[in-house]
Amino acid sequence: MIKLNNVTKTLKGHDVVKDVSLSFEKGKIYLLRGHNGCGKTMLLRLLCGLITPTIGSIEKDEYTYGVIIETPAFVEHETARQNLKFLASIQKKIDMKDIENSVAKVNLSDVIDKQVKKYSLGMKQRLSFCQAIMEDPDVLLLDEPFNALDTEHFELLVGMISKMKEGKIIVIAAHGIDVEKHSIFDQIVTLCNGKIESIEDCLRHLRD
Amino acid sequence: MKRKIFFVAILLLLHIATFNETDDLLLTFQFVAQGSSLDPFTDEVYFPVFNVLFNIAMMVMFISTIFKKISEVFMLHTYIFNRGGQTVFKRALIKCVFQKILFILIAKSIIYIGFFLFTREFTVFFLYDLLSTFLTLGIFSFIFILSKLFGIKNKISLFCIISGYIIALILSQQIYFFAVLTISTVDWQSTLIPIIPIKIFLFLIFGVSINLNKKPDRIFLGESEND
Repeated sequence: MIKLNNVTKTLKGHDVVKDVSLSFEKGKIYLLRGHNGCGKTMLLRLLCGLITPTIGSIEKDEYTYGVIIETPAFVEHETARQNLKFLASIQKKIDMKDIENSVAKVNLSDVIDKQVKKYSLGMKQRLSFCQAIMEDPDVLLLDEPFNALDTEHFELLVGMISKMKEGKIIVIAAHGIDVEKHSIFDQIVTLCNGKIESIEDCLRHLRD
Repeated sequence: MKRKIFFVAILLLLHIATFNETDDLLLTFQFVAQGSSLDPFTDEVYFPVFNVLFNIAMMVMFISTIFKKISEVFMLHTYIFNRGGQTVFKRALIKCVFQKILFILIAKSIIYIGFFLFTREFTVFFLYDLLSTFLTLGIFSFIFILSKLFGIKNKISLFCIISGYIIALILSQQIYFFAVLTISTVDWQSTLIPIIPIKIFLFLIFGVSINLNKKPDRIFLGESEND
């Protein structure tokens, strides 16, 4: 479980996350939503330890993380295979076959040896998703993972995420996603100006 | 592979093009490393513009090769950080620096060996040059990493490092202490003892400073600060 206790993050005198208390459990998919600049990305950064809270604390078990934060960033003049191989060499948990399997899941097998600079934004987004899931992490933190995807690949990723939820904490930050149509979320957290505006249990949300 | 061959070819061209009035081909290495030349009649050292420019060009080539790799590792910082934390991220940075410096040293050695075979002679400057290149590029790379860890933009740190190098190169011709930031200087044999230990000291200081920097916030809050 990951638990945020009255977490506040201040940047240049401005509270970008204000007094947030939340807990994330295994086996559930969480949606963070809200307008641009409401603190979604900052909350994801806090969750995976990229930044530390100014006030408050974060309790968490020993987890491995798979993340997409902001726009997909890869070494552009290298191929997808080279990029993923380099990242896989850090933990040394998977081999090239596992990398290829993950790439196949996101429909990029035929372009794995192409330079990333030749990829479209949607392809980069799928590659980014691939690097997040390839080592089968305990926690998946996905910031706008559906950006620039066509309908086919949007459905593909949504399907994959819903199948992966067993034994994982999955947190997705997205705005403009149709939660009625895609009922994969267990809890929806709405943020406004860094504060929690509402926390909705998804079954209740659908009933309403 | 193509890029590596191109790199060695350009480096070789810089050595061949270096202005050398003496008959001693091996002195070319010193002239490139110092941006100097020697009057064969008076034995006086002077600084032709071409050699100074070649020296600067060579340094820019070395620095840009290493800095490009460092920037690539920083590009993947979120993914690396989440796979192993700060320690692994810094280890990845230092590993890439050493890999690139090693490549540069190999490229230099290839050219040296070519010259040795051609002239059937050997110059001790080869050993000094390799050691000094390793330390000088190491110092600059660590400064660049530190500047990135403090959130300074690439262009600014690159400008400061290259300007610093050019100033040190010019001043080192009069005040040998400035050779701490250059690969070589005139009278390198007599200044070797104070310069190399100072270079090692700076190398270690900057290396340790990277490890002491424990606040990751600046790296991860570069682009958008409040989404």
